[in-house]
Amino acid sequence: MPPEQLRADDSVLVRWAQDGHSEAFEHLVRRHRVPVYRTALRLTGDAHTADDVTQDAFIAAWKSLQLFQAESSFATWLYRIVVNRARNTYRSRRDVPVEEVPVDGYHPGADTEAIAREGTDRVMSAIVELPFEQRAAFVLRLFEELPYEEIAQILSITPDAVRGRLHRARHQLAKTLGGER
Amino acid sequence: MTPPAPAGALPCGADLEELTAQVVERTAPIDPEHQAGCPYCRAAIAELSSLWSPVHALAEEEVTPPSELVNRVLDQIQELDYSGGRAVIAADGGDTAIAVRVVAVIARKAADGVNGTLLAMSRASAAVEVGAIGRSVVVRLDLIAALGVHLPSLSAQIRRAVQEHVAVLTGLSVVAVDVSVVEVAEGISGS
Repeated sequence: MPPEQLRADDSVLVRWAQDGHSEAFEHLVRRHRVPVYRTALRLTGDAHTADDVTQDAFIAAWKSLQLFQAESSFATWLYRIVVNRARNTYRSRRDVPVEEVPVDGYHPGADTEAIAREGTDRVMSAIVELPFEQRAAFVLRLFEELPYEEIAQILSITPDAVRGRLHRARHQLAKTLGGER
Repeated sequence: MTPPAPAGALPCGADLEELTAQVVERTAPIDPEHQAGCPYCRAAIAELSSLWSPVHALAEEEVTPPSELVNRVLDQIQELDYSGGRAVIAADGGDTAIAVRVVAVIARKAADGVNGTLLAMSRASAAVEVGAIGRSVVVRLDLIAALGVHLPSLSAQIRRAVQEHVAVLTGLSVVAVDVSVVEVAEGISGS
């Protein structure tokens, strides 16, 4: 595969990979390894688990590459796989139903004072304590800086539902950190 | 006398939840002109920015995946290709193993080259499946055919193209090419 092809955009590399050029997929892995690993790390809060999730995600992408039909971008598709893998890991480790906290009585600013006093490690722990669906929306928005529409595609929900989950995540995060003062 | 601001709003009427979302998600203000001149908004934004700064610091943190991660992924993919099955051509100087995935790619290209077809890439299963033992391979293809095309002739054409391509490029013996026409559609080249 000529070097100029490796500088091609994702859709070209995906087509090459679908045609059996494994070096094209290798390049896709190298290109996306940081956002995929970062997402896995922020979703799981653990480097070892993030490593496993990242590896599983790329293997799953390879296995189903022939089914990828560019209805979304390759990156969006990959994010969806990572989130699903992380969700499965979370479910297998915490066999309890995910309960979303109601937003009544939330006063932004009141509880969030504590956040400034927390180190990033504590913030990460608080994020991992969020219900998974809130956490996924928060991580994709805050750490990956994705637009609401793309997050909606990844999580198979509407942009309004993304907005709602982010709202609850902010509330829950403030509450968790604020409650420990 | 100024009426009291609604709950969750600043005295200027700005929605505190919207301001929080703006600061936490670091998005552009909805009303930049107002925010730039309003002391309530400016104070709230400054306070919120300071309060949520550890979250932003975490977002700015550089994350580096383990250096050997990519190689582990690629090694697994290679193993996977072989665990899916492979055809083997034995020779005096040594064996040549060809992963079934390679045969599938060749078969797919051959089928794609026949006018009036489109591989049916369903979400449930792959459009091309290959079974291989030794030098013998069997290929199964799911196709969408152009509406109006004579299907038995189309199948025969595809069968011939797949057999020829696989045989020429791999040296393997294509025992059978099973063709399933799963759909017909207009707008495919050849219709």
